[in-house]
Amino acid sequence: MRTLRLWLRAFFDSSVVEREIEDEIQLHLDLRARDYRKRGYSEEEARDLARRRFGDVAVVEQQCRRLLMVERTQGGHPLMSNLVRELRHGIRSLANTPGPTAVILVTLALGIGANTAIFSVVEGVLLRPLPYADPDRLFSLWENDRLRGTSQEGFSLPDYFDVRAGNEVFDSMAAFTSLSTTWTSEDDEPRRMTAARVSASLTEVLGVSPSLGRSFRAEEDATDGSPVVILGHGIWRARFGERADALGERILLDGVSREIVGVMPDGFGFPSPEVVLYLPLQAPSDANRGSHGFSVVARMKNGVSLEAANAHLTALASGLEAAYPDDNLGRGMWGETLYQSTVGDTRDGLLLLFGVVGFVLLVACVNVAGILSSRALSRARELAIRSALGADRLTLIRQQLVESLALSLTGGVLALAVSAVARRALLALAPGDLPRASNVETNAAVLAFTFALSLAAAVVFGVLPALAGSRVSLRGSMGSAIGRSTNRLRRGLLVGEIALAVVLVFGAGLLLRSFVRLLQVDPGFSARSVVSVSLDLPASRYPQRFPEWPRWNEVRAFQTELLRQLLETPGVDSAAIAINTPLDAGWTSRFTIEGRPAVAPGQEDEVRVRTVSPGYFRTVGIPILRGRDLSDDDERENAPPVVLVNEAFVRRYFADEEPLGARVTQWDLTREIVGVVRNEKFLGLAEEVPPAVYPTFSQGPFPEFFLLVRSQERPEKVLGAIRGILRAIDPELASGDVATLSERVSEDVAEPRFTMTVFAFFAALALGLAAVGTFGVMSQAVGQRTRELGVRMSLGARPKDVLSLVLEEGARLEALGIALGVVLAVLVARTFESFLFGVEKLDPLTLAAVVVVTAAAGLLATYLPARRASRIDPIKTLRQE
Amino acid sequence: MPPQGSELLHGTLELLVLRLLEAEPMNGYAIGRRIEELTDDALKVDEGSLYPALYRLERRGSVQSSWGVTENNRRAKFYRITRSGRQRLHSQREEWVGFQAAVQKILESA
Repeated sequence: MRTLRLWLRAFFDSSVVEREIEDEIQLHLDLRARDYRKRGYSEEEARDLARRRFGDVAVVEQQCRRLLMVERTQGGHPLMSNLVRELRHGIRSLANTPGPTAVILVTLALGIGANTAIFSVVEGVLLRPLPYADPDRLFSLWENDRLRGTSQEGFSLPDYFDVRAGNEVFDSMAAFTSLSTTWTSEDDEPRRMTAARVSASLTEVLGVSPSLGRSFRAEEDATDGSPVVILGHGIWRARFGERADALGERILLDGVSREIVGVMPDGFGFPSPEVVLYLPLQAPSDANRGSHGFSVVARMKNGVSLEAANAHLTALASGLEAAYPDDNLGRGMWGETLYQSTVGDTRDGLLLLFGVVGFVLLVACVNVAGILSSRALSRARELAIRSALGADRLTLIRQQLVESLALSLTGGVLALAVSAVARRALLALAPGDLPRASNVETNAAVLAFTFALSLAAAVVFGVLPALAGSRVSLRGSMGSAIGRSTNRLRRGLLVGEIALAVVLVFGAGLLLRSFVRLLQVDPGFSARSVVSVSLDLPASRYPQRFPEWPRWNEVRAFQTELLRQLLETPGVDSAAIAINTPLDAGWTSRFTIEGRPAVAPGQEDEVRVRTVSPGYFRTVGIPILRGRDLSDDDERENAPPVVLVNEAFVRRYFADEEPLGARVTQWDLTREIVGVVRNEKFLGLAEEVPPAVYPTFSQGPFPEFFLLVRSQERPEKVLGAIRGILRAIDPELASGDVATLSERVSEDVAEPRFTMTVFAFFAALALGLAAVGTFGVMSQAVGQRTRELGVRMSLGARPKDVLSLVLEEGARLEALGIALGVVLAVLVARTFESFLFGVEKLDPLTLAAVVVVTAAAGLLATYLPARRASRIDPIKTLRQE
Repeated sequence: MPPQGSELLHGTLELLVLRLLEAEPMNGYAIGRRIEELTDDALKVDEGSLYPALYRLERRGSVQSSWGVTENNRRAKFYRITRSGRQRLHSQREEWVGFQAAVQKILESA
């Protein structure tokens, strides 16, 4: 520590050192003068004699200063003393060329900053361990269905209980499911919140205990368990000001009074950060084995591998298959790490961007290396003289590396500012469902990464020019040998840089075309001017007893009244309710078609089910192709049950038969097909449309549903009207998610848009850097050839000839770089394949466009120096010689 | 007028400084004065080279310095010999004695 302090002091505050030397010598002079005075000299004579006796004070001080500086700073270590001297020298020489230094620093700040920003996202989302005890042993469990080809379904509660009781690979297991619930209190309007029903074992599985109060008890897993609730930390702070005596208070959730028994620690949100309330599982004892609504997480026993756990699960699943063929025929079970199920989907995209941004830094480094090597050229004389004076090659290389280090570390500091801005932009751009986004921050790991990256960059861009610079000789530098070798190096670097830029622009082009393809997909509905609001009717006021379904009269009455009032509202063109909005995949159900050969129970096909009110097709703009739309008559009590089907359904099941009039049974209700509608996308724009049926809402009501309203009015105004009507019908009801349908469509493509935008930005950055590099190389080339060009012009070459001479030279380099880039692009194209939609990985159009764009950028960057060359005044040039 | 005396032989200044510091820590001026006293002003210390010599010794680790106060209450830098300084002193003293003897031999043989 002391050494460091001295070092810093000596380095930055040499005045302290100087003052000490002055003081010491002044004391000497004073004492000597005192002696002379004692011998009888006058005050003035004594001072004068003392000074003459001492000699040249300034020279002695200078000598001392040199000795002290080195001694103080390094405790006598010669390597360090050299480094400090070289660093000072380097900083001085960089400050003497502010233009190139600034270009270098900006380039590095952009390159390192972009990397730091992406890394902070990668670190927070991918690298950081999950915030649970021993997270590597946490395992997400899924079911799949061989007969219907599904690969990832939730667990049914009976399956969960059986696996929990019968397995030998897990220490503990927990089931959970997310839901939304309405919190009603006297001093606030009703609020919809995200909650999770969790088994009592969850805290044990995750190894996280409540920071206040207790976890759920095992008996609370049952339906008749006491009504309790555990709060998330955030809501405890917001609603109770972190009061400990919140424990024991009761809150009203969906009309049920629940006692607060615990508070989870700060930052805990399972399975996602939006969950703010935890309710006990309250599993009915007769839960349906065919209903797969629960997620399962387990803690693997020590020493059990992923493969062993999966093999064991497969065995358990076949046991259940044999025991319960009605529900479990064809059902398998499998698992993956909780980490994988949490961030697995985002991994590829983020890693792609991380790789790309690394290339950007490489391009930046190549650019900096180019600038440095041309600086080395202009400093060739200095280096040659130093070399002649005895500085060995190693010293010269070291000198250059120290300079590179100073540059890259300064660039790294600037990069932190760049990354702070870039990170905010990234998070704003990122899909709303990016997991663990709140983790993203500048922490020690990110700072260490930036530092390491700065060091690595210094090596990359510092070594080549250093080697080139060290090869100078005094004689060579007077001639042109060094110039030629440095020029060759710089041109080589430029070709490499252009090639890298081509690869990045090609990748960006592919993603862009793929994204445009995605947007061109006809979703089958019209999203314009439609507002959607999610609603959830609590069972306390809208009884939802399962045996009585579909006669949930309170639910039906609410929905009918809501639609009636909305349709009377001026400005509303049409309104409907639906169990899911378009593009929200929603539910599937097994079904049978009347008159078809019977299939064994459990082997029926599954079909998408979208329960809608009669106005749905009009509201979202789906044309009826055959038969009729649902009508208000179908809503009446005891009306014959009817259903509409989509084209995909007809193609699959009624290829050669008349669908209209056929009867399908689903959810224990047999309905007549009265119409066929055009396909709308269910599973995202990129996916095929599955067969789907549209039962009427009143014949199959749900308490959770979306309200869809088409209106030419502004969305805010429409929402105001909706809220007013909701308040009038049920003042205690909270409205949930609100969005225009266009926004929901836009969410569907949020991830490819994010990847594409960021990728395109980086590609543009790389292209820009390559253009700057081209400009630099060509300017230098013109500068070196001024005399030659002057001679040519005085011998009759026209400006046009000189222009094309320089352009030709630039074009040669560009062509080489682009050709190399195209080869590289073809080699790495496979990397992009999984991100593409509707575009081949070697799309020739994209490749051609990339060549044109890169060539144009290169031409522009060459044109400016070329034009300058064509305006050389031959007389002036020759006179300067 | 300043006292006149023999020029100090190159390289011996450090030897003398170390010898004096072996006895006690001293400041720069006291070292110079002491050399003059001990030789009855026969050796003239080039003051311009005294301080660089001290700094050089410090750099080599033969002496250490610290700021203190003189008898007359003035702030002064005091030099103290180190362990490696003592070793250096002994080896240089032997060299010097050998050198002196050699020179003596030549002078007497003539």
